[in-house]
Amino acid sequence: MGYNFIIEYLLQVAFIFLLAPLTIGIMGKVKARFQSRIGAPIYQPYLDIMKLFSKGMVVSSTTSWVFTAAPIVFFASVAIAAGILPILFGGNLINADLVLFVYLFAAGRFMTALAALDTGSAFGGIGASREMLYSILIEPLLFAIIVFFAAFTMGGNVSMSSVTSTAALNWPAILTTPSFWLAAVALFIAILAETGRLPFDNPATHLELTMVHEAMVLDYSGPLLAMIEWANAAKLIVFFGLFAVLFLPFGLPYISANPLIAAAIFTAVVILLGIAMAVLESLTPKWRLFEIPKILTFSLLLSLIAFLTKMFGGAASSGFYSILPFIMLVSALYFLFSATFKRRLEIYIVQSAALALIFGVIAVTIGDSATYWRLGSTILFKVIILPLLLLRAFNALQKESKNILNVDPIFLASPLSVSKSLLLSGFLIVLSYLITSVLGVNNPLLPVAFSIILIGGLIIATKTHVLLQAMGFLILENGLVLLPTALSLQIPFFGEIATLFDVLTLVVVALVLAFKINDAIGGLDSRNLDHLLEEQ
Amino acid sequence: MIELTLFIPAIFAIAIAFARRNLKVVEALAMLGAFLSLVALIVSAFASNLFQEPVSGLFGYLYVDSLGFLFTIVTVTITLFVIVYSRGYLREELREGVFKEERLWGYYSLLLLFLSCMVLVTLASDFLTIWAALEATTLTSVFLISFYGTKDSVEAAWKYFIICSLGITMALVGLMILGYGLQQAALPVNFGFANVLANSHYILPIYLKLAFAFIFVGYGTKMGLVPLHEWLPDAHSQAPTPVSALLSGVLLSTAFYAILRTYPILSQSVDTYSFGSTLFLVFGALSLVLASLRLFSQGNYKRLLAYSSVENMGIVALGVGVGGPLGLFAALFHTVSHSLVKPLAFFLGGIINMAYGTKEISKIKGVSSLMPAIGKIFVLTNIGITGSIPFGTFISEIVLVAAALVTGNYLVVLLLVVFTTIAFGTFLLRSSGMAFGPANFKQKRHMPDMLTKVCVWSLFFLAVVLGLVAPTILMQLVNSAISVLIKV
Repeated sequence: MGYNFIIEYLLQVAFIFLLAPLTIGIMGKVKARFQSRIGAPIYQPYLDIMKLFSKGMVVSSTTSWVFTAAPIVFFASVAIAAGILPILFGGNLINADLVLFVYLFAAGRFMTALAALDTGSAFGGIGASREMLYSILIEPLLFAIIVFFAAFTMGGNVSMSSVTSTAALNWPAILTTPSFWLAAVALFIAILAETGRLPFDNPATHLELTMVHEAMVLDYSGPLLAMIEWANAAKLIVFFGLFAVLFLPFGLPYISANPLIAAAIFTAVVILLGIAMAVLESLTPKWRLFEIPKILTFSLLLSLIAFLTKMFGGAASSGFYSILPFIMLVSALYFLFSATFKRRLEIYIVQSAALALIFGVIAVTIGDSATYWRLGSTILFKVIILPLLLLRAFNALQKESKNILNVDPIFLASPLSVSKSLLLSGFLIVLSYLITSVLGVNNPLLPVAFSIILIGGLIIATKTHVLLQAMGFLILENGLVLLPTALSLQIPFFGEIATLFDVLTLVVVALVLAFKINDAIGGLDSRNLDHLLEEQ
Repeated sequence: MIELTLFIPAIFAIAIAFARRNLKVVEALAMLGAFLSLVALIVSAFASNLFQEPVSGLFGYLYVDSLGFLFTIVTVTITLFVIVYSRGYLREELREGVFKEERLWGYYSLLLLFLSCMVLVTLASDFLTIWAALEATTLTSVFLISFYGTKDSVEAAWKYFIICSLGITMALVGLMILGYGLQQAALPVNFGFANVLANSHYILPIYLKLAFAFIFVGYGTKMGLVPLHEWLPDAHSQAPTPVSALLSGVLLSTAFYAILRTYPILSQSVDTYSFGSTLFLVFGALSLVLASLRLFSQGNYKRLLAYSSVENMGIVALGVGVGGPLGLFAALFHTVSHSLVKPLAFFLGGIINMAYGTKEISKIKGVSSLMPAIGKIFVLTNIGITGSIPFGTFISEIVLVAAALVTGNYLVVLLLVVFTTIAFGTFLLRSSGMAFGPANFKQKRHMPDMLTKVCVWSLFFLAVVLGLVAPTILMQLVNSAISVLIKV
């Protein structure tokens, strides 16, 4: 045990801290181009940090030692985390695991929040309380991802080295496992939230209503501010690094053996991720504070599904085909929290298209006429005719109604909040995996089909907008159609036609009823259909 | 021949759409459609000695044995009565301007389509068709419930539509599981009765139980078993009275038939069989107890009858749950009796409603002094619903108590005795309050016309004959239906 490890460790930390301002600069440039500006040069963040270090510092006389200690602790926690990832070298100076990783950042955040309270300014208090609210929501998500990785390595081991090597060993094959994608999306959302990017927090804002992180550090100046800014930039890179070693482990073969190549690959990956995030940020507005729990719950569910599939779904990965059912399931979940009617219609089309693709794959591999019929009827009715019918009915209802606010579901709050219904659907998903294990079927499609059916039922039960309830039936029916495929059942042809006919009639009946309801109560909120309830 | 029972109503429903301008023609076509359907059924039954051997038709898609025939003939007969009664009732309402005349053809057309779907349920030869047809009965009857287009009726229709459609998808999941069980046992996945029942012994018990539980819950929603009954009082009270009679009297029995058809798949072992019986007993007891307690607080006469339907379905479910030839006899006989008596109660309620212009129990007094004969059979029918002479419900409840005693289900006996007494008391109180005493106004608003009277009296006559005489042919039919259920 020489001093080599320490040198390697320090080298890697220095590398990440040097790379960080460049990435921030590139992201700033991309955002500027999106806003039709030329933007600052990409090396601007270096200059900013140098400038701040050379400036004087004002510290309020009401503050205690916490105020000065916080930036140092924050900087240090990021620096420690930067060294434990296997990026340039093995990163095994301390035998770190993912849990340590999460808590290092929690420590930094804790100190920053304390310091924000320490100054006694109103902004600091608001910023700290919002930051803590976020961390309450983010931590379960991060731990859900950790649990997923525990399942992933199959030994229940979440140490950095075992997790990363498992991911790297299975590298190209892993792309076709659905749980990999689900966890990747969940982690990306978690990174956005953890590092305070849009839509959670706007790093460029200094508007008192919207600041979260910026409000906490408003009272800092000079070198202390420089440390915070720099550590913040490095924190983003460390999370990118985490994402890269888990999901894009291109540099892993060169680690320790050839650190220069590893560094080059890592730089490329991080810059690509930075550009992707900048594009995403340019396209997204900041969400209201109370919308934040929805998307975090959503990504919590994604990691839950990833975990369940990994644990119980069997290892069946038959190419990209196995991702399709999960697209259907995620669309059903997305249906719960999207806002407008038209967006939901698009979700339904995506779900049906995924269903059609599943049939398409089966039809090509097996080539029986029944599957071709399913493929054709799914495309014709569920991708084209039914959405068109619903859209026309929706437009007609809007035209007919006196008050347009009563027709679009965006203006109707559901009696069950979106986060709660997402959590409930999480329970339903667990339930479907339980049913599957009772049935003893080893097909990853089956729990997905059950989940879609149950979530469809949940939509019908918890949404009060008449058209959404009708669409709940359609989602449920997509799950029902998936069910015989999941059980590899050959349903008699007559049964399929009868079922399809029933669904079509059901939609028509629901739409006619929607018009009647619109006439009777001047809106589409079935909560207003409450007169008979009073009579009971 | 048996196909005609199914197709005639559908064809007449289309014919009505063409003849929609002339109300008289529409009414005549509707009655003729139901009547011809009944004739076709009876002729085909006697032409081919149905009691010994089941008849199949339409390339094997239709199949009728004595169990199917029992339910089919009740369905078609009651629908015929309902259509005849509708004529007088709806004309009266038309005169009052409750709805527009051009909507009437749609009513009769849907009624016949509804009949067609119900007949398809009881004549189908496989479980999948039963499922599709039962879902179709929901879809065809939604607009019958929302016929008046008022806020309340639309609300009831929406509730009915959502709850029943959601429930019935559960039944489809159950069928899929059944199919999976067949497939796992290396049997052809064919939902025909013959295939499933002959091979159910090879299916793993866990699949059978899961499948039956899903199917029971799915069709049980439609049958109105507590706690799946929430839609029922609303739908049955907001629909036009003849439709309420049809829903209460026939549709519930049709859903019951769908469960009953599936029931024999559990006969492979004592374990699976007692699982099914337990489901029937629990849901039946819940329905009986909760519905009969809810009776007392109902202010609307039609809601009172609707809750009584839930209660009666509970008794029917208890009958199957108790099981054995005696219990099944009670269940089947009670279904038939209820199908006759409940529409009669709705018909009489409709006549009273016409005369008084209200359905509120507290606002109706002295029916007997206004319409002596109607008032008396009104009271008789009302207590008959809860199982008193001279109706068949009396026989079936006595038999059920006996069956429960024989099999040692003393709790069932206790529940039956206590809660049918509560129901009886409530109905006696309410109906005598409505029928006796001085009338609270002098001038009758509307009197039933001749055809309506004939319809009501003949249904009354039919129900009484069933209750007092219990004709041999019916007994034969019920017994042979029981053998269908127990044989397998």
